[in-house]
This record gives sequence, C-alpha cells and structure tokens, in this order.
Amino acid sequence: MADKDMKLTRDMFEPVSVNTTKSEKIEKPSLNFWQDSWLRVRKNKAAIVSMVILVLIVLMAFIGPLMSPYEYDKQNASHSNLPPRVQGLEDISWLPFDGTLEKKDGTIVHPYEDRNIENYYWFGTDSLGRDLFARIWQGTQISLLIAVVAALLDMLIGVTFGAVSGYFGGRIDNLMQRIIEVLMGIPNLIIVVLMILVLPPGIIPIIIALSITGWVGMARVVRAQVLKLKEQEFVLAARTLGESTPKILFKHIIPNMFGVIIINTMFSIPNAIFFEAFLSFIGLGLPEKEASLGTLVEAGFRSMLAFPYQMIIPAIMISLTMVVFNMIADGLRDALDPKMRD
Amino acid sequence: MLRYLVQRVIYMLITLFVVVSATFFLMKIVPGTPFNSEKLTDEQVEIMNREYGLDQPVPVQYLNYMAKTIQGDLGYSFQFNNTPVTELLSERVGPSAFLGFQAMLVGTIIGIFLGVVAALKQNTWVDYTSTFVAVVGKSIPSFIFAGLMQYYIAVKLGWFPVMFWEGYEYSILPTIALSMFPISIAARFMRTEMIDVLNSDYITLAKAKGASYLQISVKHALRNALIPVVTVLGPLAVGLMTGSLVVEQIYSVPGIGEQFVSSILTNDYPVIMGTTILFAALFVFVTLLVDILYGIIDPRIRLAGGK
Repeated sequence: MADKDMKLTRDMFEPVSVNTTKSEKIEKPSLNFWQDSWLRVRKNKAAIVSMVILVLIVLMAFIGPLMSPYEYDKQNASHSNLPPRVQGLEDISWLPFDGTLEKKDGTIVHPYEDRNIENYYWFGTDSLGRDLFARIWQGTQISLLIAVVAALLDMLIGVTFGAVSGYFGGRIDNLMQRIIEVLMGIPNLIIVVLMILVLPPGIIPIIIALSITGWVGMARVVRAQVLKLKEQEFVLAARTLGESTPKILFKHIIPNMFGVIIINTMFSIPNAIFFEAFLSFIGLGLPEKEASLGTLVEAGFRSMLAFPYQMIIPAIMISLTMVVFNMIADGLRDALDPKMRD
Repeated sequence: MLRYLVQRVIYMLITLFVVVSATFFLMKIVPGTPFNSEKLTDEQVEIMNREYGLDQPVPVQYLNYMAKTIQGDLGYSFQFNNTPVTELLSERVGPSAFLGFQAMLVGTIIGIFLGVVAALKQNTWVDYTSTFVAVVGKSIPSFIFAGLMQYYIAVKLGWFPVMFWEGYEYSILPTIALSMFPISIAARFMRTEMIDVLNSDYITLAKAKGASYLQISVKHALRNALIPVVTVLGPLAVGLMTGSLVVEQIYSVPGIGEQFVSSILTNDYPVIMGTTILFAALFVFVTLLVDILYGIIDPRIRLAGGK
C-alpha cells in the first residue's frame, strides 16, 4: 500500500494534555429505562413495522364500522352473500374486488348485476346480508377489547398474587405456590371450556373464563422477580426508613419489573385473541348477533365452499392481528428483558 | 430423585382430584338437561333421572361419581344409547393418538432442522426466513391453517381428501395443520439453544483442534443443544391437544377432540366429564414424563429436592 512509503515525522504528533476536569464529563445525555429500551426496540424493524400495522388495525377497529354506510348488525335478505366489490377496483379483474364469484364448477357469476344491486359492499355480505366490512372491524374491536381486558385482569391478579407470595415468603408463599402448582397441572383449555359452559354466553363471561387461568404465568414470573429484588439494598433502606409494606411493594419493587410485566402482558393478548376465536369455533363463543373475529371465522367457515371470501377475509384479519402482536411482544422481550441487558 | 418422584406423583393425584371434582360440580350447574326432548312426558323424565341416579342429592351423586371414576368407570353416554364412556372414548383414541404422534414427530423434526439451520447461518436471510416462519406458525391458529388448507389444497386442487378418516392420505392435511405449532416452537427454541452452545468454550476448543465444520455442528453443537428441547415437548403436547379439538372437527376425524366438541353441543355430561378427565390425566402424565426424562438425559440438572 502507498501508506507504507509515508514518512512519519516528529511534528505529526503532539502530546495529549489530560484535562482532569473534562475526563469526568458525561458525553451523552443519560437515558432512563424507557429511553434506553426504545433505542433497542427501534433497531428491530419487524417490531416497528408491526407497531405501525397494529396502530392502523386499532384505528380501523374504531373508524371502520363508521366508514361503512351499513350497520354491522343490519340484516338485508335481498343482499345476502354478495362478493366483495370496491368502487374503482371493480374493473381490475385480478383483484378480488370485482364483485364476481367463481362457482364450484368454474363458472363465473355476477350477483350484483344479476340481482340489480347498485350498492358496493367492500368485503361483501354474509348469508343474512350484513355488511362484512363493518362486521370485520366491529369484530376486531370486540376481539381486541376481550383480549386487552383479559390481559389486564391477568396482569392485575398475577402481579398481586406473585408479589404477595414472593415478598412474604414462608408459609404464605408455600401455600400460594401449591395452589399455583395444582392450577398449572390443569390444562387451561379445559378450564376455559368448562367455565364457558357454566357461564351465560357473552363478552364478560369470556373475559372471566380467560382470566381464571391466564394469571398463573404472570404470578410465577413476578414471584421470581420479587424474590430477587427484595434482597436488594434499596428495599432494606425503605424498610429501615419505616415505609409500609404495600408501599414498598408497589412503589419500590414492582416499578423495577415493569419490563417483565409488559412482556408477559403483550404475550397474553394474542393468547386471549386465540382462545376467543377457539371458543367460537367449537360453538362456545359470542351469540350470533355479536361479531368477533372468532364468530366471523366460524360463520365464514360454514359457508366456505360457496362463498370463500366470507372465510378468507376474517382469517387474514385474525392472523394479521396475532402475528403483529407476537412480533411486537418478541421485539419488546429482546429490548426489555433484563437477561438480555448484560 | 425418589423423593422428588413421590412428591410429583402426589401433586399429580391432587390435580386430578381437583379436575374431577371441578368437572362434576360445574356440570351440575350448567343450564340444560340431557332429557330435553319434547316427546318425553314428565313421568318419563323422572324415570330416566332415577335410572341415571340424577334424582339423588348432589353430594351422594358426587361420591358415587368419585368411586366409579377411581375404578375407571366413567358412566354412560346420554346420547349414544347408553354406550359406556370408556368404550366410546377408547374407540376414538386411535385416530387422535395417531394424528398427535405424527404431528409431534413431523413438527419437532422440521422445527429442529429449521432452528439449527437458522443458528448456523445466524443473521442471514436463512435465519430471517426461519424466524419469520416460526412467528407466523406460532401466531396463526391451527384452525385457520386447517380451514385454508382444506379449501385450497383439498377442495380447489383436489390433492388430498377433504374430510373423513378412511386411509392414510386422510391424515396428511390434519397433520400439517397440527404440526405448525410444534414446528414454530421447536424452531425458535432450537435456534436459541444452538446459538448458546455455539458460543461455548468447548466449541471454540473443537474449532481450535481443527475439527471440521460438519463435525462441530453435528457432533458437538447439535447433540448438546438437543437436550433442552425435551422441556418444550410438554407444552407442545398440550398445544396439540388444544389444536386437535378444532382440527379434528374441521376434517371430521373420529377422534377424542371431535367427540368433546360434539358432546358440548349436546349436553352429554358423562362424555364431557370423561373427556376432560382423560385430557387432564394425559396432560399431567406428559408433564411428569418430560420432567423425569429431562433429569435422566441431562445429569447436570439437579431436580429440586433430590439433593
């Protein structure tokens, strides 16, 4: 290389003066836990894309039912089973929005023209003539509501149970851990199904059934964290200063494990969405008038052979929501998990 | 080890006891009776109630039920002309077990393969593809897979039978639908373990000794990374159980899951309770088995209490 021939002369170097006042200066602004985590989440492109999609889904879940000119539960027998048709996209034949339907024997039918219908149903209609566009977003809204409330309940019960069990230790801990062990031994599928059989159908019973088993995982994680944290000096200091036990738990210990709690909650949301859909699928879901992603998939499945769009659109919707939630939860775990910080 | 084992078996029994009691009492308070045909007169219903012991006080029914359950007698189905539940279920164990094992086998093998490849080619497109497949497989419910495959592969393309259970080719689509979950879980777990092992000192030593790439990745890394995979087998089996309910229903496989779902819809209490107990027993047994297996395979694991 050319650099080899370069002559190093004495005047190219100068001694560095060590400035003792400057050496202690902090170059970058110090970051708190959230800023630090955000820096790491930001690097995960999949998680960021998922967050954007999730925001869109949530927005649409609220705006969607209003955008459609039809009510989600308005039946219209003469408009039943219409395939999707969108203004402007109807002439592009390779898009599935041209208002045509392929029959089983391969013939193409034009239900809109055949029945003289001027309306546009963006995602088509179901067997009772209800607008699927409105139903899909209404269903997303309900599914998200069920999942988020169930996840929050799990969090509340799990954190309290785990914190009490871990902090007090001894006989209380022993008893509480035995309860958890027995509960862990029962597959939650069975508990959920049995609870739904007993409770009347509806949104709140589904949330209750999901929460009855959902909190156990959280309780275990929280207990392990509390066991670790309660030996730390800041807890001893707080105790020495005469802080009350609930305050130590909720002001000093629990804020230190927000990361773990958030990760766990994020994973329980898609789990709850899954179980809601699962219950609908085995005939234990919401009553027919209501729409959730689960009931829509189930209804679509029954008419899949003749009207595949009724199954495919809700299936894509539920899959997208689940993938997005899992991606975000993964990203958050990588960013927030204390084990990854070292 | 022995103390641990005894302790675990006791827990297993307590859990089963709780499940049996819970199913019994929950079934007692569900709305609906097994005899709701309009053709029956009140008198006939009364006779039927007496016949099935449903007229006795609940605690007596409970004790009877417990005693019978312990003897392996799960009562008689309300729906299927008095067939004993045990008989009804034992006829259906075959297809379920076959599907379950096949899905588990296919799933773990493909999953382990994906995970290992991802770890060996870390941070390349191979890794990203494998991770993406894993996330998608874990996220999308098995009944969505089952439904879409049934429509596109069986109905549209006609490659496989659409439903029913009349030969080996009937098991292929249900198996694929069920194995998505094991594939994704095994792949993700395997990737983490494999990367862990690849960064360990003995791999560096093997490299320093001049062992070949293949030898290092298979003989040294893979064998050690495989051990912890045993721990996910338990959760996988549970996932398969959940999946089997809907997948069997979609493909009309005459298995336990399909029976469970149809019994729920017909209020056939004895069958619901029997299936629940069977599921719970299976679950508890698999968990115990996995724990013991893990202790045997990896002597580094010291079981709690087995000092």
